[in-house]
Amino acid sequence: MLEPNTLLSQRFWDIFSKQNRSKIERFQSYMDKFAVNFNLYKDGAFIERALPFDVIPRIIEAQEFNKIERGLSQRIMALNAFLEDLYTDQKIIKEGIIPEAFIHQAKGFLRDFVGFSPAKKIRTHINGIDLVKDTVSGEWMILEDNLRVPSGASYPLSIRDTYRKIYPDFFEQLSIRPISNYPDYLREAMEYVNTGGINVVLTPGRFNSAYYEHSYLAQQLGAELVRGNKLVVENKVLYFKNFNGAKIRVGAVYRRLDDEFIDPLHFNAESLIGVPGIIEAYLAGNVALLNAVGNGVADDKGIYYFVPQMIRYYLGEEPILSNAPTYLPYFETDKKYIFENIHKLVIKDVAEAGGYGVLFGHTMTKLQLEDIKSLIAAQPRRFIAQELIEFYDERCYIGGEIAPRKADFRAYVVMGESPKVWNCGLTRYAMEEGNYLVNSSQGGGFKDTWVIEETK
Amino acid sequence: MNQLLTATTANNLYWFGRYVERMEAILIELSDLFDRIVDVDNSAGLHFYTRLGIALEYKDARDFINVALFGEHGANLVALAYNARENAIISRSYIDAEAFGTIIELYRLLEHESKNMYSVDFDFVDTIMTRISAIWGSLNHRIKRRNSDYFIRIGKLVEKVDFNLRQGCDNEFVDVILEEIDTMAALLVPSYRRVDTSGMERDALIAEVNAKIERIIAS
Repeated sequence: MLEPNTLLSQRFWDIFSKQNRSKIERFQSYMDKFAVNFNLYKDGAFIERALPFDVIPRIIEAQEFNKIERGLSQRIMALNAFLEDLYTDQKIIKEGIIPEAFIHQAKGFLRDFVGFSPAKKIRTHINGIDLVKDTVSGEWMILEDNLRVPSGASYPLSIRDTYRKIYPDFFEQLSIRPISNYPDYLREAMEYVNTGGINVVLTPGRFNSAYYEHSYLAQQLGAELVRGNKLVVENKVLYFKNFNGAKIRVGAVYRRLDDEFIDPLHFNAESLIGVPGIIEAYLAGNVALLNAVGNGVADDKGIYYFVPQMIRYYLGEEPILSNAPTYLPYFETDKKYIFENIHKLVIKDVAEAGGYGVLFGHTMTKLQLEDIKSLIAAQPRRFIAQELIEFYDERCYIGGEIAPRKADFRAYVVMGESPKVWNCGLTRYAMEEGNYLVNSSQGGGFKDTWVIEETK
Repeated sequence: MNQLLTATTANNLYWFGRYVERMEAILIELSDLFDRIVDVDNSAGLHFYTRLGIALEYKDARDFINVALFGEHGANLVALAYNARENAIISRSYIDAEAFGTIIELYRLLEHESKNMYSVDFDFVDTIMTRISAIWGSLNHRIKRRNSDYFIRIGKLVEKVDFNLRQGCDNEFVDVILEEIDTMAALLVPSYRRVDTSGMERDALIAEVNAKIERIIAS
């Protein structure tokens, strides 16, 4: 279902109708020329490809976005408080808000890090929160929190400039909030927790799916892009190895690799992309890691269920934005509901991401549903179930025509001294009509997102 | 002069400069050889490629252009552009955006034409030359040079010396370029030591110029 047009969105279409559509192909030329890629691995093969782009932006009216902004700031404050509490005092467990066993079974919870508090007690520096707009309530709903290494901000950031050059009329006639401050947000967040030294962006390397983003953001925020083998730890201090042999102290690392790979001495011993000893430097307070180690527990889809309780517990406020209705088979009453309604629910594996491990009950056979019930009964902590949210389709320009496609919205919140919500985000759309999986790693495309003031 | 770079990035920038220069040098030669094949001597292209250690076979001037650009040998332009592109992708945060975009386009164009069933004509060589000039032009935008610019330039000049020595160029030309390389190397690494190359045999000189980068970038 398409969202009804408003006066403001109608103004977009009025301007669009007067534009030369043959210029649309210039966007693809730009992305090809500058290798604005999100690479894929398929059947073991590395496929270099531009992220598909749709020229029709998602339009969010400023007033509506202001509520999203408040809701996301609130959510990130609560999640940061939760992580800090979980790795220090664990009051939320002691007071029975979240069952202890539930936390301990979370794959992303790192017991070794209990007792450690990072610089300025900030753990959620760079966050990607996935939302959809529900067709029933007309409200935005949170689908997922990504507090480890969320990617995607560079794509709308780099295409916006091109949009302004190709179709300036929109920017002259509509009051579209500017977005070029995202690298400033990142820089401020890094500087805020920097322990003394340069800022670096740690990348797994050229064959990572988001390498374009790593190099683009490093350049934009003025940090050095570096692979793990060019960093070294000596006496619990992290250094950047310059080409001339000089060692330069590093104060903050925007790491674009997961906990598991960041330090072969502490995590996966076979990791070739990490930095041996970086965790020792981190625990000694000699370097800041963005995001903090151990955030994976908050990305756990089972923990997501408890975020509204966290907001009430830590902030004493009611959540401004709702979760999608979610059930945990870990609780008997929820399990009963899931088993009775599994044919219409969405089942998610809590440890998966990127659209993997998602099953839609309405598309499954009876036999498949019985199989998944058996799996849930055997491993109740491994799954959650959610009501299928009928979220709005976005209008996409496909094959010269406007066509509806399911689309979500990843908003970015960067936390330095306080959370800042970027006036943009990654609107991801599914390539096929009716498909609910919009993730880039599932072949989905992206749109720019325009937050527009009512008056110019 | 205080821009930080990892050794890997410095190497990638250096090799980016070398591969783009190698493409340009070959294309300049092709232009001259094309005319000589048309006007003077059908075998003119053979001598040049023999000096590069490549046994080229072609029927006529047009065939020569196609074999030189897309044939299965080490001086194949698609392979050179691929290598330049790979080095650019890895070090892209340090390369001018327009220069980066142009090498991506250039590779795409060469790869596309290499699969085209119709052979290219000399206009195509001009097109490639124009793009390469655009790359060098974009790289020279900045008034104040950074370390990354020096590595690209050193790569370009080392390749120029190497290429010309292999083609039997006179030493005076080489000396001028070596002087510029040494000046930049000393800016990058104050402790850099120059090697006296006067009286060196050609092969020793080729080895020396190729080893310069190892004295600039710490292992």
